[in-house]
Amino acid sequence: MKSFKRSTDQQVVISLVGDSGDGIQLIGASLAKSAGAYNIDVNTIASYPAEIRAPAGTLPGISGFQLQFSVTKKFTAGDKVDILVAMNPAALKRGMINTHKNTLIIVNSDSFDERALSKAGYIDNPIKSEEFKFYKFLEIPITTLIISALKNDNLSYSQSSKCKNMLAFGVLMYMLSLNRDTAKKWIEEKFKKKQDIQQANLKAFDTGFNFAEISELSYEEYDFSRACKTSNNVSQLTGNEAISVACLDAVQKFERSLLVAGYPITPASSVLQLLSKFNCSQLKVFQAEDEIAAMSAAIGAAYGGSLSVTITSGPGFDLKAEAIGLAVVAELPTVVINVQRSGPSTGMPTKTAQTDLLAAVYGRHGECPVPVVAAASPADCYYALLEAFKISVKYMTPVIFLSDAYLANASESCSLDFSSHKSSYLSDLDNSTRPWILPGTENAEYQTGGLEKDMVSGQISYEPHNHQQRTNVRNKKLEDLSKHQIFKIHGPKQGKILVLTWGSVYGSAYSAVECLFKENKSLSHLHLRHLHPISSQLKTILDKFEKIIIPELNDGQLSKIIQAKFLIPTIPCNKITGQNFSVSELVEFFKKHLGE
Amino acid sequence: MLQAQDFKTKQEVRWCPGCGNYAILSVMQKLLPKIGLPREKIVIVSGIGCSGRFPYYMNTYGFHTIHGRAPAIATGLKLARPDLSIWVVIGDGDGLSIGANHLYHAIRRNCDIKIILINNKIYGLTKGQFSPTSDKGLVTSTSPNGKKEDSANPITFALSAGGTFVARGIDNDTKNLEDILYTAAFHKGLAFVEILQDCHVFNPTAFDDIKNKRLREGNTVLLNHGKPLIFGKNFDKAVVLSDGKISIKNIHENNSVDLTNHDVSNEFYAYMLSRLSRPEFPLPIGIFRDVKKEIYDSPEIYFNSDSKKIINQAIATIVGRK
Repeated sequence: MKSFKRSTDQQVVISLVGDSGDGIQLIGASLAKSAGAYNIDVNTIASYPAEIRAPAGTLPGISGFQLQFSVTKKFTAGDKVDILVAMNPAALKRGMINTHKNTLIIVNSDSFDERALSKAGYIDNPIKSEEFKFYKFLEIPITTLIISALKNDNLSYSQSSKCKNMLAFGVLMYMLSLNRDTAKKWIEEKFKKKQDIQQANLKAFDTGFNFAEISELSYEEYDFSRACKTSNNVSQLTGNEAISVACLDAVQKFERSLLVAGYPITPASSVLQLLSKFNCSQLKVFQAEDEIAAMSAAIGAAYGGSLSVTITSGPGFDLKAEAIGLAVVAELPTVVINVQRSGPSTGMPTKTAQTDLLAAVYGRHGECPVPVVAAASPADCYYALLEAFKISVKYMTPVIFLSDAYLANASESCSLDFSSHKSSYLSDLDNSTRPWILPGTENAEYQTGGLEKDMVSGQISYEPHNHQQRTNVRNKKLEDLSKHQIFKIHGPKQGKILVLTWGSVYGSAYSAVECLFKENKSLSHLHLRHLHPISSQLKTILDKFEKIIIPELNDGQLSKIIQAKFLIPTIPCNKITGQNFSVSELVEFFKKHLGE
Repeated sequence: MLQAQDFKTKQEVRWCPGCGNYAILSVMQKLLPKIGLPREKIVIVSGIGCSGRFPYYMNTYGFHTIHGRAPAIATGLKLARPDLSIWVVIGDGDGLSIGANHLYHAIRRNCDIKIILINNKIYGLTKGQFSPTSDKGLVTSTSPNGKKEDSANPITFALSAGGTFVARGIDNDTKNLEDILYTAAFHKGLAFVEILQDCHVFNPTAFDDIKNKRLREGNTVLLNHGKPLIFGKNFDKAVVLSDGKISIKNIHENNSVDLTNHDVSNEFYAYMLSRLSRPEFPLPIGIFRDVKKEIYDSPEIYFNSDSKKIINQAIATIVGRK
């Protein structure tokens, strides 16, 4: 096979696709971890079916995992796939969507029988068909190899067959010229509780690795062996893992206990699951009876002087609205994390969206201002969440933190800076918040609640003038907050196009802009972490550009906010497919508006 | 020592004249000095309804929250602050309609909090709509032809959730009410107390057959652990359990009856008692069930763990060493 010359920004995009029971997520994570021994930047994105086990071999049951390995920093898991591993025909069909003409396609040839082909909707075997003749196919009889390799192990057919993923892992590790020992250590650790399963998986890995070696499956363009060894403090974190780390670190940074309250909901539950392992007197994880109870418990904990957070997704977020209002009126600090997913209603629970921005900013009765912060990347979930905690405590207010299914399931190589809050705009300014008086404080007994209170005495008050004043005070908190926003523009400070983004679109937009810089195109990018309030200062920046393009995974929600606030036109670039933007589609969109 | 006076606030009490809540408030203000905790360690958490105003009239920490959620808010507060004595005051609509889910699970978890459900069998603050505990057939503004649904029974509800302390009192039977609440205060775990409360304005006939001492003698039976269930003006009647059935027997000198002694540890028997209602039976008043069980998130489970270390290690584990 022909080889490409190694370039200075060597990179490869690998896509693993199989049935939801094929262990695709596991080898995806294994590959990411194994690459960690090298100075390789890894970005990943997982995609799950909503069903736990949809019928095997069908398109709805497909589980996917995509990785981009690169020697330079990347911001997405890549657009087009260089290596596709498809465990069956349905996986091939799904995986083919993101291929290019040089994609190397590895298939488990044992799974391409008539029945499997028809389940995927193929009449003839695509590998042999005219349509696919330009692709490079690598057919490996994975099932045959695994069954024969494990024939002397005391395992059932289905147990042996389950090790298919490790065989594929072995093949990939060889192809990428990555160290097999690191991978084997990772497998040992993963299966340490079951000796026989551990041995079988190690054997499967070796079988794959050896098969690749004997078959001479080495390609220079995929060879990462010369990427230098990395320093020891780089981690590979998903957004939900970074959220968990921020929760733990908040206990240390704020020197307060933390209550994490939630109700299982995709794609937020993994935070509850992860933190449950570390339940202790300073960090309590509470699985509540419902979303409202989780929000309520968080408010109760805040009343008691604890930090608190509740984590949910769209449907649960709707349910929490009333209680958020209580936290606003009673001035209690708590953070509401919404890991957004496609709606309305149950929608597509495992698929991403940015469709809850307006709900976060405006979705409550009464004049009920709540700061909204959004994370830009998996690792940024750590920084942005710590900032949300900081705002909540400083201004004695609930704060809404927006992530999404993309960030929850994507991972990036990062080195978290634990030494700083990385707070971009919180200085020590005075504000008109009430002090956080904790029950247990002698001679400070007070009664609070959802009823409007008198400005001075704190007693219940229905006085017209007082309500106006209290409303103003609540609004003023946000005004104060907005005064300290700092905007960092990527690119020139004025020009034809400003790309304005928020949330998980950051990676694709940043990459697209970088890509156009390389083509000597002039445009700029500004990413917003703070969605509410938005400083009036933003106007002076926006005014310096002819066109404001706002790519969002919704029907133009930030566009509506910007248009309404600044009375300027924007160019929405909207997508609601359950998937994030690819870099290339943004490049194309921006180019069109650059006049090409 | 603190006095009842110390638990009163400057707030003018704004319940309707004659409301049963006045009596309940006064019992609470007399009770709290007796449990020996400083005021600042006590928090009253309420929901929405007439009962919701309770915290404003108690000179302790108080949190008047939202409709139905008080048990959930109290649970979060207890998790954060196991050192506090937390009293939840809710109503029948609050606790058994909009907030039934939270009430059920709070009881089921056996958090160490006290829940008082003030049951006037009507929506008072919204001016007289039927509530889940309103008697079937009751004519209200939203049931002009009489309430069609069966009524909810707070005691059966609490027992079905596995309540470890379940009791019923009556607003103006203050002596017994204070005794019940006193026992509840020292119960380790969740104590649930239903208090029947007379709403003169919107449901004035609800408790006609138990509204004074004389009527209560014949129409209620006091539950005393280890004592027979006798009632009546001359204690001449008994509630007796035999052959799996509950019946009323007359006791007189030449009639020997096998009396049933009340047992707060017997769950099934407590359930049967909870089903007794007027007019067929006397209404049981007192403690139905009082048992010890593991407390949810008891501070003891953390005695041997070092939070700082756990959190440090947790971060290291998740962040990993790539």
